[in-house]
Amino acid sequence: MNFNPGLLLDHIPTLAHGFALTLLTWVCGTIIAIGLGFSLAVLQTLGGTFQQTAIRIYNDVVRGVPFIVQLFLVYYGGPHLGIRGDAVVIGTAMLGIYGSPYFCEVFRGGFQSVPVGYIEAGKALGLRRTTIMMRIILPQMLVVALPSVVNLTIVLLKESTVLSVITVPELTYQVSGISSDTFAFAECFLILALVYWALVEITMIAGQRAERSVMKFMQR
Amino acid sequence: MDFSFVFSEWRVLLIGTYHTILVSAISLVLGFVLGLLVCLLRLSSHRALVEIGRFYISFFRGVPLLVQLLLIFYMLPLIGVNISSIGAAIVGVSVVAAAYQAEILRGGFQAIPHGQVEAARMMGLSSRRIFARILLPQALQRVTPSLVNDAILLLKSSSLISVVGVLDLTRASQNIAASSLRPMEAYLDAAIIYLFLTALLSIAGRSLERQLALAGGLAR
Amino acid sequence: MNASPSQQRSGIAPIIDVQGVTKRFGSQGVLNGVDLKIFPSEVVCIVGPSGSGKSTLLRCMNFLEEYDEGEIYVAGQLIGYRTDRSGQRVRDTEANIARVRKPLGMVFQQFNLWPHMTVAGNIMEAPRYVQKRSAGEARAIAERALEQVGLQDKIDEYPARLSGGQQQRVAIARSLALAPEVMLLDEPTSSLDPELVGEVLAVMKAMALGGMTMVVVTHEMGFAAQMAHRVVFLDHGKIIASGPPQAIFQKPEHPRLEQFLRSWKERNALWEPSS
Repeated sequence: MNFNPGLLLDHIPTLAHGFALTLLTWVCGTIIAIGLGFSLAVLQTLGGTFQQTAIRIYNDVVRGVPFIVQLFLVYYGGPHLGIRGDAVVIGTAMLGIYGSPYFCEVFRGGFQSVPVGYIEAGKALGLRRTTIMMRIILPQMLVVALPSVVNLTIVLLKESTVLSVITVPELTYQVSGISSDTFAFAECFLILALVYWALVEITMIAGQRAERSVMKFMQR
Repeated sequence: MDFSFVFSEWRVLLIGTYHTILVSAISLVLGFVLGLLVCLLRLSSHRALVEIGRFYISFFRGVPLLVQLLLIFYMLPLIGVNISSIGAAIVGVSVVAAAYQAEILRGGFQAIPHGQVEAARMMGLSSRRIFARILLPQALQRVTPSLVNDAILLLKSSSLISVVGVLDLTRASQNIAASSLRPMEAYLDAAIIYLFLTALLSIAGRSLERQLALAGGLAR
Repeated sequence: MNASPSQQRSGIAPIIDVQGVTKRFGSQGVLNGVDLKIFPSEVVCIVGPSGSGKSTLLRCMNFLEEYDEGEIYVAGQLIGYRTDRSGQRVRDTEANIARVRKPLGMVFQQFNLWPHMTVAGNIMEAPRYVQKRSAGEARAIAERALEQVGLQDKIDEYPARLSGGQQQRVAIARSLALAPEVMLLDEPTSSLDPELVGEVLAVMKAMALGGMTMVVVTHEMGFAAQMAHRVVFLDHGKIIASGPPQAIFQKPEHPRLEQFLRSWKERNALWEPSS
């Protein structure tokens, strides 16, 4: 077997471009997913039956269809409904949409985990509803939600590879291209695997550190 | 939108759905068995085995499934294993599923109070019996919701096998979209079928949970 | 000084013989040279402040914990260790340890019933699979064991539906079903609500009156005063005092024992003692 990883050195510019795009789509997609998920969670917690049912249906549908099918639907089917756009833009937006139900569930669980006693204490002390939300509920909720948020962020990193299928020129797309040009499939995909593995491990370690520093504030 | 063509294409959709269910079901079973093995490695008393288990879990959860599939698809022929795309797909999905199931099972085992094992040892039960009669039943009972959730994730992730050429539901809808020039309808069909399958799994999971809960409470 | 007088004179062999046992946890000494003999049909209560090593001593007796120095013999057999070819002491095989453990039964503070099995399942497990009895025999054994603790009607219930006191009694029945020669009880009532302690103590008293050899780590001084042949006071891993309950409770000689009893009386007295 002929194994020559050095082959990839010739393609560093392309790889760098792909890597940058992976980071871009991942980070932006995650931000969108967190923002959207959080809003949905608030709406669900505070809203009436209609909002709750609607959001539940949204969650079930988005979580019930594979990401790749959703991508195809919007990217290839979208133009028929007037949705046209750059692959990167659509891809990032869809990544955000795909992640939103999961974040919604996490944040909702976080809200529900705040002991009622804390809120009652706030009310008894005369704090306003928004103050209670911002200063008591939110911090508690974030501590509870943090491990899951880190996990979901990693999930979205891995899902970003699927964007290569709709021609978003991120890392997997670039490496696939290089591999079919050079026929060095094994080397290419092995290195690709290692790069993602490293990214995931780094994110996990960063997440653990964040969790530890947040734990300092909380007595459990 | 015109769905009439769907009825002429139902055969392709059926074949695609069949392959999706086939690969998912086989990978679920293989993944569970392999996952249990990896979990035992992870929990064993030999440090070397523990490290092997940890490495396995870390690597196969850290590398995105798409990259894994590409890797397996291209690397296996290199080491002399000639395998069909469906074979590579099953291997890829199973091997990754095993990593997730191993972690889920680990949580289940570690939640069992150690005192129960001590009581069993006091009564002379062998390690094998302790595992089979005390640890495994409780671990399975405890993690059933997570396992069902994992099954749903597995079904969705199976959509990526379309990328390595397996005629699954996703690939079927791609073919239909290309030949009928109606991507919207084609992908919507696939989405609806996936939704139906995941909904079925959710319902099955909940009834399974209920049945297991009736069989006895768990340690607090 | 260690045996109840009648047994010392007749020269019966101890059923548990602890000789010079030391156990360290890092640099901390948990047990420091403990000598203790338990004779058949004796009821020995081990008392002492928290962290004195009482539970550790008990758990060393059935080798749920290792010990660093000394020997523990169960029915004449060394438990936990054997000498290998080079004369070194090494940890014995699980099979051997299980064999030496046979005469011992144990009741835990946390009951440790297996929640996914019924009461019957819990009690029948060892008779069926360790003693290789048939299902019918095992069921009969379970019924008899439950009669001894007064819970026959709960035989097909799941532990989660029983009160703490009932669960502990089932745990006792589970051990009794194997006909042990010695029952080791590790703070059997410490996890129970106060109202439920009595039913477990009643079962323990019945066992003692029936002639069972018992080693009980407990805070229940009342039980010790009534049922123990010997009370052993452990402090910082050493046996400070040992003797019949009257000697220990009414005429404490060692200052640490005196202090221990005084604080117990303060916590448990309902009114000031007259005089």
